[in-house]
Amino acid sequence: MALFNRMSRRQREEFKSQALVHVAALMCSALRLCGSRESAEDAVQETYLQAWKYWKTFKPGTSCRAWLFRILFNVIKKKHGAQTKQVPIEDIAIDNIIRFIPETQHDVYEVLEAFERLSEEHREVLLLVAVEEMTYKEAAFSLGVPVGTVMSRLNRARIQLRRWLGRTEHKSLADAAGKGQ
Amino acid sequence: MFDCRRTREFIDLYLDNELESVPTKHVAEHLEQCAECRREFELMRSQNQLLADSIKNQKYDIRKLAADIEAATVGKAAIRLPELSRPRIPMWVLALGCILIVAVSALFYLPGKMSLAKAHPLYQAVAADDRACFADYAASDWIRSQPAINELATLFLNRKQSIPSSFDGEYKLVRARICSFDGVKFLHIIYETAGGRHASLFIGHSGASLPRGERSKSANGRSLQLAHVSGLAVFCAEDDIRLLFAAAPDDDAAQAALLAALNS
Repeated sequence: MALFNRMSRRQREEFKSQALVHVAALMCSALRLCGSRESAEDAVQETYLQAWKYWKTFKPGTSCRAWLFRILFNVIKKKHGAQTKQVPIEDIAIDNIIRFIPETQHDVYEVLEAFERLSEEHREVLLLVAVEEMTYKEAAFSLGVPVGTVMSRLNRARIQLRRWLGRTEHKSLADAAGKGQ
Repeated sequence: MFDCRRTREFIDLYLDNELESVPTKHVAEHLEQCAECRREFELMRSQNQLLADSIKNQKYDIRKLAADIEAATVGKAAIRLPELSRPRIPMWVLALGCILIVAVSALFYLPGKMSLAKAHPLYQAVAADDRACFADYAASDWIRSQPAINELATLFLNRKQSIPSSFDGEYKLVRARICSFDGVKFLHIIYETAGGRHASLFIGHSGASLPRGERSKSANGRSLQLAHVSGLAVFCAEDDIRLLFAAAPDDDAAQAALLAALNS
C-alpha cells in the first residue's frame, strides 16, 4: 500500500516542501469542481495519497503544482464526476475581496454563477490560468492536452463568461451589496 | 502597431502574459490609443481578478485538512523509534562486562579445541603414556604375542572377558604391557592400522569414580567421559570395578574407533 512506501528522509522533506504547500490551492479548486465541501476534501486527500504513492515518479524541476492538479482532476473525474451544484455563498470570504467588476457592476455572485454554468473543461482551464495563474504549458500538463487546446478552451470560456454576464442587467451597487448580507 | 481586430486576437495571451515581447509591445501601444479595446481589456482583467479572488478567498480552515494529509503521508511513513533513555551504567563498565563474558565463555568453550584448561591428571597421564609407549615400541617389556597378552589380561579381566584382537575392521592388536598411573596399575594395549594410525586401550582396577572429563557422552547405554589432551582424544568408561581408557588422535574416525573398542 502506498502509505507504507519506504521513503527516505530527503524524499519526505521534499514532499513536504514541494507538495504539501499546495493544499489550499487544490482545495479552492476542488470546492469549485466538486460542489460540496465533503467531496472536495475527499478529492484533495485522495490526490495527496496518490501523489505520495507516486512521488518517486515526480520529475524534479517540473511544476509540482501542475502535477498535483493533474492528479486532482483525474480523481474528481474518476470518483466524483462533474458537479454543477451552486457554490455555497457562505463559503466565500466576501469581506476580503472587491465585490464588483467596476466596468459593469457585476458582483461576485453573478461572476461565480456564470462560472458554474461553464462546462467542466472550461472551468478547469479557467481555474488553472485565471485563478492559479499557471502558464499555458503548465495548464496543458495538468489537463493532459496540448497548449493549443488550452488556448482555445480558455478563449471560448472567456467568451462564454462575457456573453452570460453581458445579458445580466447591471445591478446597482446597493442591490449587489445587499445580496452579500 | 496592431489594429483592433489583431489586438482582440492576442488580448487573451496579453492578459495571461503569454505573448512574446514584440507582440506585447504592439498590443500595449494599441491599448494606449484605442479606448474601446482598452475598455474590453480592463473588463476582462476585472472579471479575471474577481473570479480569482472569489475562488481563492474561501471561509475554509485549511489547517485541519493539511494536518490530516501530512499525517497520512509523510507522517505515517516516518517510523519514529521510541527514544531510549540514556543508560545509567557507564559505557566503559558495559564494555568491560562484555569482555569478561567473552573471556569466561572462551574458558569453557575453547579447552576442547585448544587444551587451555588442564584435564584431570588421569587423562593427562593416559595421554602422556600413550605417546611415550608408542614411541618406545622397541622396548623389551612389550608383550607381542596374542596368547601371552591374553594371559596377562587375565589379571585385569574376569573369565568371561577377553582382549579383542582387532576392532573397527582395521585396528589390529600389536603389543601390550603394564604401566602405572598414580600408583594404579593398568594394562596398556596398543592397536595399529596398516596405514600407521594407532589407538590405545588402558584397563585398570580403580576404586576411584569415573574422572570428570570435558563433556559426557553416552554410547550403548554406557556413560563415557571425553577429554582432549595434547591433540589426543581420551575416553574413559567404567566397567564393574574396572576403569577403561581409550586414547587416539583427535579426529572423528579415531574417536569412532575408540568408542567401538570400548564397547566391544
